[in-house]
Amino acid sequence: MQYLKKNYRRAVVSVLLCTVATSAAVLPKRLDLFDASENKLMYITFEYESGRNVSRTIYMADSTFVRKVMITRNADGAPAKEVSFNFNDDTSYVTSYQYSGTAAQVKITDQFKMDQIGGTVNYSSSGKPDYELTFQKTGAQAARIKYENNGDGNLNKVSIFDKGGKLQYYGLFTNDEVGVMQKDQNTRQKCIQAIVKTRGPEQLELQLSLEAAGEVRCELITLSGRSAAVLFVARADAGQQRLQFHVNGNGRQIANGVYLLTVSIDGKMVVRQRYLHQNGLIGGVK
Amino acid sequence: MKNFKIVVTILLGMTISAVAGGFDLIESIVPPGVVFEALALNKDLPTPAKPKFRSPAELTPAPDGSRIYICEQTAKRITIFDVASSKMLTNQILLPNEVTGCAVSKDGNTLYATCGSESWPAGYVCVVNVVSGKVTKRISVGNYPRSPVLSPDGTKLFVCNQFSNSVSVIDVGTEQQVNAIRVKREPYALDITPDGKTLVVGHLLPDGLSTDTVSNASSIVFIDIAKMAVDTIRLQLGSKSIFGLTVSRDGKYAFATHLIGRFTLPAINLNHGWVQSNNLAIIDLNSKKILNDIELDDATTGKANPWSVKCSPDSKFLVVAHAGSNNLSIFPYDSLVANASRGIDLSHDFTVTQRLCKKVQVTTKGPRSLAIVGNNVYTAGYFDDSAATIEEFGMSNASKNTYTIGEPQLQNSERCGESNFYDGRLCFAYWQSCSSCHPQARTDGLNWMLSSEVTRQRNTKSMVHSWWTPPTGWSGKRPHAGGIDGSIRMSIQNNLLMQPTEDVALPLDTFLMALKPMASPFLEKGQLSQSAKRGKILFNDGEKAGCAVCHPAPLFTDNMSHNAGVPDPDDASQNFNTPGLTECWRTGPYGHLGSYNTINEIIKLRAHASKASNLSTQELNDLVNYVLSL
Repeated sequence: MQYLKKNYRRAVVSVLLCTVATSAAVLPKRLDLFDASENKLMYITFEYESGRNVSRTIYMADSTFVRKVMITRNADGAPAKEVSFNFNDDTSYVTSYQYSGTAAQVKITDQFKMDQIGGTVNYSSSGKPDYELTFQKTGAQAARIKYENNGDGNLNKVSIFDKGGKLQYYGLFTNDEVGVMQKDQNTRQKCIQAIVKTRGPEQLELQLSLEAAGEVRCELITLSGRSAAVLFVARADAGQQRLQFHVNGNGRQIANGVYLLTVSIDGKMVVRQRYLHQNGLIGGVK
Repeated sequence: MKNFKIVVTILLGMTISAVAGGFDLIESIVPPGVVFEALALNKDLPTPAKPKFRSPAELTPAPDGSRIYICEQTAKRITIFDVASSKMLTNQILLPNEVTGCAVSKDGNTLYATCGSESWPAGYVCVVNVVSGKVTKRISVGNYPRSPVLSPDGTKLFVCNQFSNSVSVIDVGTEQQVNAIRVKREPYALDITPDGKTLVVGHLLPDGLSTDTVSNASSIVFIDIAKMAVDTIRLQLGSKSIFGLTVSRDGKYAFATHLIGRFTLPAINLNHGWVQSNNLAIIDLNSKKILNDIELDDATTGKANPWSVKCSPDSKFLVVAHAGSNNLSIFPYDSLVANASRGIDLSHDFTVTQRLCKKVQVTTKGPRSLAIVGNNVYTAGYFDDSAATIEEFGMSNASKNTYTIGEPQLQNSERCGESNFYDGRLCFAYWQSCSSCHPQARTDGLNWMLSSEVTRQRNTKSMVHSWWTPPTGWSGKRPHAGGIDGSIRMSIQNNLLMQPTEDVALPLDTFLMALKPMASPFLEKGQLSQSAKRGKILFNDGEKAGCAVCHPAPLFTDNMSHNAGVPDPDDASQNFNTPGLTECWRTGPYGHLGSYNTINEIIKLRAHASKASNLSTQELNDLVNYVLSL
C-alpha cells in the first residue's frame, strides 16, 4: 500500500500506456476458417470506417462471394442487428443479438423470417477466452469456441470443438487481406507474370500473363497496413495483357507518400512493392 | 527491489489491458456468434433447424474390393467400410464441400472426390491421399461436378459438370484439367468403355422444346476420347432423369436408368406406367443405337425412381437401385441382353421384369447408390432416419446384413419433407414420386396435362420459392402451395392418387418453405459480371426494359396474371401467372408451354416486354446476362 501510494502516478501511467498500446492493437482484417483436416472452407473480411467495424464479407475458399453483412451496433458498441445481402443486394439473412449481463443470444432468420438455427444460441462472456454456445431451447451444446491472441492482445486464432473436446474447425486471424493460404491448396488461377510499371505522371501500367480469367485488384496500402485506395478492380481474360490506370482516377486524390502497391488475382497477392506517390509528378514503383 | 516492483506493476497493467483490450475486441468485432453463424449457415455446424445429415450418395469400392468408400454428401466426408471385417473404419476423410462421388486409383492410394453443393456450386475434384486421409490438391472443374471416372490406364479422370453442361478431362499426372467437352443438358452419369476409348454420358433433362412431341428426351452422348469428338442419341420421347449409367464389362453395352414421362397423354391414370414408367435403356456401343428400353416396373406396382445401375464383376448380374420404392432389381445379365436383342419394344412391356427380375426390398430409405464386391451388393439409404445402413445381398441366397454408418440421426420436419418428396411409396402403387416430375425439386422440362386441366398442357414448374410466391401454377388456380386446397395436398390427391395426410403434407410444406436457390453459373465468383450489372440497370429502368414492373426483386414476380404474348391455341384467356425469375438459368424452356428455348426469345415478344425491342444488341445481351444470373 505504501508502495502504491508512493509510486501511484508511475503505476497509473504504466497501466495507461499499456492500455493505449493494447488499444492500438491492429484490427483483424480477415479470418480464414478451416476444418480439422486443414481444408480451407471460407474466409471473412472485416471492413472498418473510422476504426469501427461496419461490415464483414464472407467468401468461400476460392473467393466466391457469399454475402455481405452490414452491422448495426448498440450504445455499448456490441453488434445488435446484422443484415446479410446477396450478390443482388437483396437481404438473405438477418442476425439479431440480445444481451443480458454477460450473456448474449443470437438469432438468425432468412429473408422469409424462417429460423435458420432452431431458436437462439446463448453464449456467456464470463468464461473468456473460451465460450460455450448452447441452444436455448434444449440447452444442448451448439459449439465450444476458444480464442487465442499472440500476447500483444491481437487476435490470432479461434478454435471450435465438439462436446468431447475434439477440434472440429479453426480460424486464423490476419491483418493482411491476403490471409493464410495453405501451401497445398491450389486454385485454378495461375498468374505467370505480373509487373507494374510507371507510364507517366500518376499513370501505371499492369502487365499480366494469366492462365485463366480472373479478378484483378490493384490497391495502395499505407505502411501501417491500412488500405489507402483501390486503384483498379476488373476481370481480366486469360493470356497476356496490359492494363493502364490513373492513380488519381475516379475523383481520388492520393496523398503524397510512400505506399505498398499490391496486385491480387482472385484474392492471391502476386505483386507487393513500394510505390512513391507525388501528385503531379512522375513517382513510381520501387 | 524498487525496480522489481515497478516491473511487476507494469506487467500487471499489461495483463489487465491485454485482457480488457483483447477480449473486448473479440466481443465487438468477432464475437462467438459471428464464427458460429459463418459455420452454421454453411452447414458445417449442425443446428436443430439444419442438422448435418449423412446422405450417403455414392458407394465406391476399392479396386481390390477390400474397402467401400461411402460418400456422405451433406456431411462433407467419406467414411470407409472394411469389407472383410464388415466394419466402418474410424478414420474419416473430411472434404471442404459436399461430396457427390469418388473414384479410386488402381493402387488404391488416391481418391478423386468430386465436390460441389447448392450453396457453393463451383466444382472441385479433391485429390485425397488415402493413407493420411488428407486433401492434397483441389482441381478446379465446372459447376456442380459428379460421377468421377478414371480411365482404365489411370492416366485420366473424367467428371460430369452438371450445370456447366460439360465433361471435364483431368490429367492425373499433372493434376490439372486439360479439357472441358461440351455435352447436353445437365450431364449426370458417366462411364467409360473397358478399352478406354469411349466415354458414355447420361443427362438429367431433355434439351428440346417442351412443345416437341416427337423427339424431346434426355440424351446419351458418346465421346471419342482420342479425337474428343462427340456423338449424340436421344432416348425415347419423354425420357428424362438418367441418374445411373454403367458400361458392361465386355464394353458391348451401356445401361442407363431413366424415367419415361408419357406427357402426351392426360396424367390421370397411373396404372401400368401410363403417366411415368421407370426404365432401363440398353445401348449398343458398337452401333451407338438403342438396343432396347426395358420397363422395370411390375404390371401392377411401380418401382419409382431408378437410380444407380451396376454390373457384377463376373458379368452374371445387373442390379438397379430404386430410390423411390426402396428396392433393388437384380437381373441375370445374359438373359436380359438376350431378351433385349429380340427386336420387340419392351419399353412398356412387363414380361421381361416378370420373368427375369428378382426384386429385393431394402430397409434403407432412398437407396441411390450401389456397390458390388464379389458376390455381394451393397447399398445405402440417402434418407435413413434411424441409422444409415448398408445392406448386403448375396446374389444367389438373398441374405441381408445391415451395417450402421454412424450415430442415429433424428429427422426434422424439413428433412422429412425432402424424404417425402423423393418417396414413391407415397404414391398409389409406387409409380412415381414428386421428384419424378420435379427432379431435384425443379422441372423435368416437359409439358403435362394434369388431371385438373385435362385438355391444357402446362410446362412443369420449379419448386424454388413456390411457397413464397402464391398463387401457384401457371393459371394461378391454387391460392397457395400449402393449406387444404393448396398445391401440395391437391397434387398428392390428384397426381399421386393418395389421400393427403398431414404427417406427409406438413413436412413437404417445410421442405418447400426452406428450399433455397443455387448460385447461377453466370455469376463470376459469386458476383454479377460487368455485363450483368449493366443489365440490372436496364431491368430496373422503366424507360428501358422495365422488367421490374412485373418481376420485382427479391422474388422477381408480382404474383399476378398477365398476357405475355405467348401463343396458346388451347387457352383463349392468354393470362398466366408471372413466373419468378430465380434460377431461370436452369428452368428452361420458357413460357407456360415451354415453347422458347432462350430468354432472348421470350424477352423479345412484343406483348411481353415491348420496350425490349428498342434495346440495342449489347443492351439485350446485358439484360439477358442479368436475368440468367438470378
